[in-house]
Amino acid sequence: MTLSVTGLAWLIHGAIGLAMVAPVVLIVLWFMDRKKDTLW
Amino acid sequence: MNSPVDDAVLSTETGVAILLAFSALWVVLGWWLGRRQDTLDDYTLAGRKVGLALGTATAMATWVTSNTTMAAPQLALQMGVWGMVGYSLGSVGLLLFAPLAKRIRTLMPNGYTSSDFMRLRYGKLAWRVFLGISFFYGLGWLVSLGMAGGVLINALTGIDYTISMSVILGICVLYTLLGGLRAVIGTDFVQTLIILFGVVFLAILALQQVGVADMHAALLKERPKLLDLMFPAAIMFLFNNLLFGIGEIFHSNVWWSRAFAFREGVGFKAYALAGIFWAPIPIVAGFVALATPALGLNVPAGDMVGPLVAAQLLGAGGAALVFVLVFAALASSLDSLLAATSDLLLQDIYRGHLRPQASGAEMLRAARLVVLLLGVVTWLLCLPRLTTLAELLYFTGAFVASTIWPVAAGLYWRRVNPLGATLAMVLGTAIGLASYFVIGFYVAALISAAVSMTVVLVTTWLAPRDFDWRHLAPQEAT
Repeated sequence: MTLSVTGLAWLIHGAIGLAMVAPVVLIVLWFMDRKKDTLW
Repeated sequence: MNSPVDDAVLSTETGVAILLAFSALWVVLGWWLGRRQDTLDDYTLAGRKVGLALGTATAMATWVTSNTTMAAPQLALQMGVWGMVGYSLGSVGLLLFAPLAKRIRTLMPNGYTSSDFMRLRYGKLAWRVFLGISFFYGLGWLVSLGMAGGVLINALTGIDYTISMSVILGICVLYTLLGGLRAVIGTDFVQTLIILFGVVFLAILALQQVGVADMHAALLKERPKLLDLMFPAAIMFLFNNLLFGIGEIFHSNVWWSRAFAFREGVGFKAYALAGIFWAPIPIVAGFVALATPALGLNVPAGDMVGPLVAAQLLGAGGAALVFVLVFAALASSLDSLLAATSDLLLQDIYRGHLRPQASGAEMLRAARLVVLLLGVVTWLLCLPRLTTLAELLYFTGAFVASTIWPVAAGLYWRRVNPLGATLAMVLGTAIGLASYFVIGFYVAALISAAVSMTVVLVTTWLAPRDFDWRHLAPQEAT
């Protein structure tokens, strides 16, 4: 059973998409939380 | 992977410049974050007030080791699509730990280490067995990361192994010493952003040069096995990696100390988000290896495939970016391990066995000394560059998987028999190790977890106990 070109494209593009969202979410969360967070 | 200087993908001058710039950044950031620390809770647990963004980032950064960025492409090249997907299933450990982190914070609001839980939940015998497993794993991982740092920097830039290893280890020890867990978590946040932006940038540039259709066509022609969804070795790897990852996270003080350090209500969300956002990283970092047939690249060393493809596609800039990523990945895991293993030494050996009456101020002084001593011991063990030590990590699977049941059942099930939990760790480890040598590395974690589960269930069924959860929260904050 071989992975199709569409399957491979979905896997790669999906992973890149999720990895692109991650830093945005982290920065937004940090901005929202920055006054409560005592680390800085 | 003993690359001579001539084979380095980056010039030594560029390597030294990057190394110096980022070393300075981490040390200054660590010093700045640690400038206001008056109590042991501040130093070892960042004041127990870490928020969601920093909590998520530190869990992600710690789980992204040099392996994630270097071994994921190698696995993609050896085991194809399942190699990348199997590696990304390491995120299941983070996801499963999310409810545990919430439970840990609720049951032990003043706890310090994973061993605290073992001692209070199961007694001193289980505590000592667990400490043995934790130290073996913690020191093994520290030494393998220190050696990986030296070997990778040497291979990427040609800088001598001893100098590379000493610099990466020295920098991590220095900023952990200066800033404690605050420095570790603060630098982890920046390192996570660097890793995420870096892998995405490299992946997009790679895709612009070799499209998925060309990659797929070349793979079908030259390496069709890599697209085979029924590749047996890859499927076995997938399950072993899953259990190994769960065992590593469930028992290790790296993850427990964060559960104690996160602000109330943060633990579950931070680990769940970290699991979701960590999952794509091995695929994004690994798929470039699938481009090697399309590029006609001959890869001499499997674990150098990532930098080689980056250098081929993007020139020296690509190789430099990979170096920055590897440095961030190494530092983010090394600092966490240093801090968490030092906590175990401080709380469970210094206070637990040597100085039970130590005051808060004495513990704070001892905490810094322990970080320094652990750094020196790790450096000494890394010096001979013994590859056999790195191989130790392969069979730590048997050790860590034996703790999954005693930890998980102990957190939720009142009736677990303490002697049974101790036996589960001892027998699980012993039989898991035997199976490692008799059958193969891919069954060690699986068999260890199965034996441990059976022992916990049978002993608890034969002699159930009734545990009062309030016994887990007797400690006063220091």
